[in-house]
Parts: sequence; structure tokens; C-alpha cells
Amino acid sequence: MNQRLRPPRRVVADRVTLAHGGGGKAMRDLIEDVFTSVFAPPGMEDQARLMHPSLLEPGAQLAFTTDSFVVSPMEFPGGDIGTIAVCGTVNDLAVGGARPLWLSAAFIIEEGVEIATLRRIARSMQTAAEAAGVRIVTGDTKVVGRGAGDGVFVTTSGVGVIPPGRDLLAGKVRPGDVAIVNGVLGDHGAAILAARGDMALTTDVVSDCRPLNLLMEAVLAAAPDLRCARDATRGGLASALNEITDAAGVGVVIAEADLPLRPEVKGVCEILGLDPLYLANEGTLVLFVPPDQAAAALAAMQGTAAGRAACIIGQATASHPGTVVMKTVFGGGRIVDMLVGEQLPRIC
Amino acid sequence: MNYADEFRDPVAARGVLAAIARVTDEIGATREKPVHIMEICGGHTHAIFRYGLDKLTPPGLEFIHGPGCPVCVLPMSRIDECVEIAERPGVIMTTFGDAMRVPGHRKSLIQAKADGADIRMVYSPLDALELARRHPDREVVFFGLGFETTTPSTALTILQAAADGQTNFSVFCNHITVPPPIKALLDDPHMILDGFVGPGHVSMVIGVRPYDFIARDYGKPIVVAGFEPLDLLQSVLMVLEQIRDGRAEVENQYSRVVPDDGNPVSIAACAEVYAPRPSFEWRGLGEIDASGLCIRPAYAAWDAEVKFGVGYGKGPRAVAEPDGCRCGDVMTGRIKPHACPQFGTGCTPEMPLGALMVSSEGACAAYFQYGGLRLEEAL
Amino acid sequence: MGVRRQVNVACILKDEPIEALIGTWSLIHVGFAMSRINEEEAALTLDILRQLGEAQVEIEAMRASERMLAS
Repeated sequence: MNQRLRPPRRVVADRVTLAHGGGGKAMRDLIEDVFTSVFAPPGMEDQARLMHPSLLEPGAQLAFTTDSFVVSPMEFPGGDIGTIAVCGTVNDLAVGGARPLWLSAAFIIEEGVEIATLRRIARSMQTAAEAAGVRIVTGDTKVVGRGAGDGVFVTTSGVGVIPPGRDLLAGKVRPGDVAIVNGVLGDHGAAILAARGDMALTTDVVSDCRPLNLLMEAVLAAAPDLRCARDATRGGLASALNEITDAAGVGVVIAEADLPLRPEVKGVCEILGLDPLYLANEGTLVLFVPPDQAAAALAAMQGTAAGRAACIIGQATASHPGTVVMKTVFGGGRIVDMLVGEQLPRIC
Repeated sequence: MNYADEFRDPVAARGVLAAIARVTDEIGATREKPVHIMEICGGHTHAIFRYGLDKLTPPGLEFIHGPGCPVCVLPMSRIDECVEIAERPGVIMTTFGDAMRVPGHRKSLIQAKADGADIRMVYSPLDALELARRHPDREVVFFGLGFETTTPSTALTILQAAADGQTNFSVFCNHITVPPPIKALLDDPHMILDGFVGPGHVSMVIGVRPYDFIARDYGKPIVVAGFEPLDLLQSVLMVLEQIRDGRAEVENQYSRVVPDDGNPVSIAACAEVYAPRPSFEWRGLGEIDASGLCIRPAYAAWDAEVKFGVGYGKGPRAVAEPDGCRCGDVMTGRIKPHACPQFGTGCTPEMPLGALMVSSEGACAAYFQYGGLRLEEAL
Repeated sequence: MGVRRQVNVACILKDEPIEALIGTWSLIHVGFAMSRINEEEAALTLDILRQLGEAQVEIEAMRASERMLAS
């Protein structure tokens, strides 16, 4: 088949208009110029046609996940909505023990968004995808009228392969299992709060947004009986731990003194009366391993770029099943519950 | 020294806890006949639960959680009036975070925001004034609430607005003062109180002299306390020592922050801007004389009640609490949060019936969040 | 480094140029510096607390020693 060589299509306008969502030439130019020339998908049909030998291994499973991203501001220290859209979906696959392969990316763009912003978002996505070793292979674009959106909304779906023999399940966590996080907590939440501007705080904290699939492969190699992993996104570490205690019917005890936190994040929390356990993370997970594999797991994590600051924070226990308890620096105990609604700064 | 970590030193804590146990013993207090100490301030309630101090102190010591949570004591009708102002065209309503979820009769501020009102969270009234500068075509209103810790900031902001001639800015004033509800509690024949842990940050503004009446007229000790766990423990120890020795004095544990005479600039600004309301309604406590502040006529141009024709005394006010709400009993220490029949069932942080569950400083919210009873069952 | 925010210093500025405040510790609430931290008072308070703490460590050490001797 002859493929006519032609010059690459270019968007003419500075800002997105309804025409860019109309299905005509403007939309075609936008898609090619801003998205496909950057993502370089393998084909240009309505669907991506894909194959990977690992899918055919007996006992292998296809992992499939989807997530929507609506963060405001769209660009923040340490990343943008594109970075978290890719990392978020990659990580949802990775924490299940899957090797991520391919992502789709759907955009709902508000009329008036600058094309330059879209270019930066696309570029961020491609960079994050390359870091994770995945490809963005298909997508969609829609434009909505001014006021009907909030900048750009991104939905990414991702598929990956869970190799045979891997079966990570929250329900598998047993009393005595050790809880490990791969790094400091709350950086993303603090960075977003500062970037939003309502609190007029400035700080150097940047989002921890990064892919965790290489880290997961390293831990699984060193600690094959890893029970489960969860990324601590909305609702923070507290929510991730509560999901696990719920599913496993165990209790968890964590030690406040062992929680890794930057002084700046502690500072933001002190000023606003927030609890760092509930701040969102975009590159931080918690995992549970059997006690005899904990040292190996920790060492393996510390050997990866995303896990240098990995540390043990607690243990599963037979006491208080379904409840997460934190030993305060003081020796007292307090329950760490699921977040209710949004965490709001306190005045007193 | 960063003035925070040192006051959380667990080694020093063991020393203070041991001393507390010893003095509680010397008083002869037991679980069946405990010493009742009220922490007045919501921030202290929160700190007690966050650090599990009530679990570390002996059973002969019982904390009574006082009404010092300004969000908790705000009557529903004031939320209704705030929502009404926020829903007027052109208004930007600004508020502290924790006021947003307090239920009104119709809706809370967060629900009003979902319905389209322009309601924005701010950290400081100065940020609200800045919004007024940036949006000269809009009316910016600041929902001023809080005890004396916060009253000077609102007053200083009004003075700044007046100096700048910023006319599109006003304050919906719901500030209240601490001494009147303490007196109301002390006058209540049902209250058993042996001593008080006094509000550290309120005292930073008003000094310690306003509490003299507690020792002098009611014979109860009060120790003004800081907010780190060691501050609270040391203050409790000081109260217990007074009780053991038969003394009733006003002491200042938080001397590194609280000057005995308070902050002159703050006191002067408040005197300039505010006048006491003859009485103000406190959710759960009813009307208390001379306990609320309103803006003086000289600053009427920055008084949202004048600007928008709402407020205290105007319009019908539904005073009744929702059916089954026992906030008043919890706030005055008559019952513990988990003894309220609604706790955890009809009243949860997701669907709060009363204000003590909404504000993170409310005793019920703290109990729910940090465990209280569930923690006892668990451990 | 740290977290930065503009604050109003009307409450803590005495008769001195504003630069005199640089390097001082103060308590900040809703955008206002409300009180200078009195370093001497802070040290005094900490001292009492530490003594109580050390006294407790001493007492526990003595008790441990007694138990050891008694066994």
C-alpha cells in the first residue's frame, strides 16, 4: 500500500475552540500535531491492534485498569495532569503485580485552553510513559464549551500482564506481615495545596509523581511472597491501609516515629491543621511482606530510584481486626480512620 | 530549638506522667470518684486525642471536654444567614475551612457552593481583603468566627480596609469570648468541675487576668496551657498540685507565648472595632449574656449584617436543635461523646447531626477520628 | 527551604525597625504574628520538664537495680 508522504499537520490557533472538537480538519490537525506526533502510536486506525508474547503464557492474566484525572491546577511543581495520568494508571497496574504495556488517553478539553498547555501535557505524558516503559497507543479528544469543564480532564486506561504464579491480594495479609513504604509521605498533597494558592503558602516541595513498576518488579524478585501493594493516592496512606485491613480482616499498627516526612510537609500540616496521613501521594505505595522476606524486600526497594527512602512503618496484627492504630511518638495510641469527605484546614 | 519538637519529648513525658499518677493518688482520686478537669479549648481537646493523653493519664483523672470550639457552638441560624449572603449575586463569601461543613437548616456552605454560590476557603482575613482589592466589581464578605485568638486578626483587617478605603469588603461577625461560657458552666448546679486547663492562644491575646474570677469567686484552679503534649501534661500536673494543696490560683504554664497582660495591640484593635452584643446564642448552651461581639457603628460600612440587612434580631430564628441532638450535654461535659445515642449511627462525620461532629475540634469528631471507645475496645 | 508565607506583624512589632524581627521566633495564626516566643521562658519550662524526665529515668533505673538485687 502506498502511503503518500505529506508534511505533518499543524494547529494554527493559540487556543482550543469548539471547532477542534468538531470531527473536522481542525480536530484532525490538533490530534496529529499535539498528540499523535508525540505519542507515536503504532497505527492510525480507530483501534490499536496489539500483541505481546507474555499474554500467551499459560497462567498469565491480563490486567486492565482505568482512571480519570481532574487535578487543579493542571500544572504544579513536580509534574502536571499528564504526568499523573500516566503514572497513576501505570501504578494501578504495577501494585497488582502486572507489567504495564499499553495506555489509552482520552482528553476532555475546555474551550479556551492554550494549545501550548496541551503540548506540555502531551510531552509530560510521553516522558512519563518512556520512564515506565509503556506506550500510549490510542486515545480520544473532545472539546466542551467554556465553563463546562475545568481546563483539561484526562482519562487513561491501561493494560498489562500479570505473569503466571503472581497473585497479589489485600486479603492475603496475615498477622505479623511487615508494612513498608517506598519513600516520604504527602509531598504531592502538600505541593498541590501550595500551588492552588488559596492558602498563600510557598514551599519547595514537589510532587512525588513517578512510575512504580520497576520498583515492584525489584521487590517481587527479592520477596516472591509479597502479599499486596497499594498506592496511597487520594485519601493518603491512611486510606490505603484501611482498604487493606478491611479486605484482610487484620489489624495494622504503625508507628508515628517511623513515618517518613519532609520537614516542609510537616510544616504545611502544622500551619493548616492537616494530618499528613491523609495527604495524597502520586508515587508512593505501601506493601506488605512476610516477616522473613522484609529485609530482602527493603534492600531491593532501596536499590531502585523510586525506593531510595524506603522504610518499614508497621505491622499487621491479629488484634483489632479491620482497624488501623498508630502508636504516637508519645506512646499513646490513636485510631487512623478512613478520610471522611475532604480534609479541610482548621482555624484553631 | 524549634519550640515544637522539644515539647514533644517522650522521655520528659514519662516524668510528668509519673508525677501526675503520684499526685492523683495523693488526692485520693479513683476511677469511681475521679478528679474532673475541663479543657476549655477545642485545640486542647484535639491534642489530647491526637496524642492519646487521656489513655496515658491515670483513671482517677477525667477530662471534661469544654465548649471552646467556635465552629461547634455556632447556631444553625447564623449558617443560614451566611448562606443567604453568599447566595446574593456578585458576592464572594470567604471562610475558614472547618466552617464549610457545618449544617444549616437548609444547607451548609459546602452544599451552597455545590449549588453555585461563590464560596472560597481562605487561611487569613487578609487574603479575603486581597480578594476584594483584586475584584473591585464584587462584594467580598469574610465569615469571621472564633474566640479571642482570632478576633484581633479580623479587627486588624477591618482597620486596614478602613484605612485603604476598601468599600467592597465586609465581615459577617460571629466572634465570641471565652470568659462568659465558663461562668455559665460554673453557675450550672449540675456541673462537677475541679479545675481548668485554660486556652493558651486566647490568653496570648487577653492575658491571664480575665480568669481571676474563676479562682476568686468559684475557688477553682486554672492553669493556662500550651498545645504541645508536654504543655498539656505539665498544666494538668499543676492543676492537680493546686487541688492537692487546697489552692485556687490562676497560673500560666504557657509563659513562653502568653504574656500575663496579653497583647496590647490586639486588645486595642478589638476595643476599637467591636462592641459586645447584649446576648448571643450558643449552640447547645443557649443564650449567654455579653458573650458575642458585633461591629461598632463607626465601622458599619464593613459590617455585613448592615450591608446585607441580615442578622441577629432580624428575621425569624429557628433556635431548636435537630431531634435527638445532644451536643449541649456533650459540650458541658454531662455525657461523653459515645454516650450520645446518635454517636456513630445517626451522627457521623459524613452525615453530622450536630456541630460537635462537624468540626475536627469538636469532642465527638475527635473521639470518632482518633478512636476513643473503639480504641479501648481494640487495645 | 521550609514553608513561606507573608504575615502581618502589627501585634509583635515594638518601637523598632521591622528588620529587627528577622531571625526571631513567633506564633503565627491566620496570617498574623501574634506573639514573640520568649526564649528564656521556653528554656525554663523545658528545664523543669527535662528534670522531671531525668528524675523519672533515675527512679526507673533505681527500681530496676533493686529488682535485680532482690532476685
